[in-house]
Amino acid sequence: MKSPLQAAQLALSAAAVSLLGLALPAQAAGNVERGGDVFDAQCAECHSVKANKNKKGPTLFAVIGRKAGTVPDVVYSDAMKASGIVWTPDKVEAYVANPKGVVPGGKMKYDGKLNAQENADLLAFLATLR
Amino acid sequence: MRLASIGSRARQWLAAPLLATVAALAATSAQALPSYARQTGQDCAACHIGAFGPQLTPYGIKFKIGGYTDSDGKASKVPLSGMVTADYTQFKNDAGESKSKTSMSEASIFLAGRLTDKIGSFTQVTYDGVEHHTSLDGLDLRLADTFNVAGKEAVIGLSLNNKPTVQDPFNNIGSWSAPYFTSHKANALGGEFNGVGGSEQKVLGLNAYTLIDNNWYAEAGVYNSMPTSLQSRLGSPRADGLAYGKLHGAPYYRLAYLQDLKTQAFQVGVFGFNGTQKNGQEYDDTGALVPSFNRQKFRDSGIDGTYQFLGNRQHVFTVNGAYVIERTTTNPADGSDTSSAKTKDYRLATSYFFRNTYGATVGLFKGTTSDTAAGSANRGVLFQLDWTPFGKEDSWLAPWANVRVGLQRISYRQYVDAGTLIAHPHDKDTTTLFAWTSF
Repeated sequence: MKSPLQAAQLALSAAAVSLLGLALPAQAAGNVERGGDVFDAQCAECHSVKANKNKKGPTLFAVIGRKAGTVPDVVYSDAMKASGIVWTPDKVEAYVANPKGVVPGGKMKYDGKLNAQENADLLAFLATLR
Repeated sequence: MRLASIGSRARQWLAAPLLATVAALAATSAQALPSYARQTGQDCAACHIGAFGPQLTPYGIKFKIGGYTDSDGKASKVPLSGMVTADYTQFKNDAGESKSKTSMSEASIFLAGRLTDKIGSFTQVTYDGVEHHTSLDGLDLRLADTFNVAGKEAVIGLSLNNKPTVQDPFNNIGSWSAPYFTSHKANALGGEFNGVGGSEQKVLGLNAYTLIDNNWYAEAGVYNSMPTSLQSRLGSPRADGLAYGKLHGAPYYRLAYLQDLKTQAFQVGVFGFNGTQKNGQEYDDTGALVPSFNRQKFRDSGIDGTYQFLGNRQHVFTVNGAYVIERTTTNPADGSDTSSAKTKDYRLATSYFFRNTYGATVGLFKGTTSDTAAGSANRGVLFQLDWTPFGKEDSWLAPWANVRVGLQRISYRQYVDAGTLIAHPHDKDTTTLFAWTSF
């Protein structure tokens, strides 16, 4: 759930990302605001967007570019720690679509189905979490 | 309560489950437990509509089906919680005089959470601050595991419990029917049953269940009466001087379909509970137990459904409905004619929550009986406004405490008290300001 301050930060971050041309082609159509809603509906039960705030799953603050299984104070599965994954947007999308397929033996139980637009929006939102 | 003065055995048979259910409604009003939040690392709002129990989100439904064992993987979580409720209620006494009562309604301790990787508990011991009575209020001890069956995920489990429906994962029938909080001064609300409701805290049931592919839920169980001496030791309530008859091998079933679309969810289901009580007893004027009926057969069946609009959790809207019918046949101990009765219960409630903090609920209820000579019936509407300031991410004291404060009005359009139509049903109305905290 986002406070007005967080929403403003997200908007600024999104603008900065766009201006710098850092948005990847797959996320080009992503909408950060809608992505925040996708996050709240699909992810927020188990994940926080705040730094150092872990729920059942690790914080997704700065998740893009992070090596899997490395957030302190999170009890990861052995499979996740050994996966060697670095969370690129493509990898996040694949993992969300099929957690057990990408990390057999992992813990994440997410069973939702995101369409292409929702995926793009979510990834655009996650990219702002810096 | 007027029913206490009704003399005939037939009326007592009807009064007993009524009183038991009214007591149970007050006593089973909780399942919003911070020990679960501490165990999982999640917010109350992850599992509960409005960030407070017992109304469950799809995530909460799956947590219950999973045997209360899901966790963040960290050790040293103590599965203990507590709960205290207090209320101020305005009502009218039997003489029609306006009265009010402030009470610490209940205090409970819970063994609630993961005991091993596969075993979890929801066990509630409650001190009733009005009746000054302690009992094993709720017991739901579970063993559950997840399997892969033909490429589909299947959770399979067992529940040992002390009231039919306390183990139900959708929290929408029987023990968990809306409203979730009622004052001890509230009058009968909906239909009153010998099976579901009347057997609470007097039986032990073992139920096997499965959830397949996160959609299809099936459950079958068998209930037996606990020995009367054990019921007494566990504080099981005696209803109007009647001891619950012996029940052996009473079958229970539940089938349901759940669809969790994350931004919205719905569930539909059916359930049934059949049994034959034998050797019912009542207390005579000297306090001795004497036979009241030889056999009393009940057949409970019901259908229920829920819809939840969850969206991004800023605006949450729910609709819950349930219909239950009970058919009873009684063979009196004195050899008089067999009697039959049919009781029905209708519930429909809709709620809106803003940011899982500010809630408004409107509910319709109706209980009917075919026994117009001695049965009880009621029909009315319920309104509730509530405020749940905590239970969200970064809430104050999370995950150590939560609280709900509410204002509730129960208003009757019809009230039949043991065969007598009350001329002014609004005399049965209650207005309650309540505080409900868990820690």
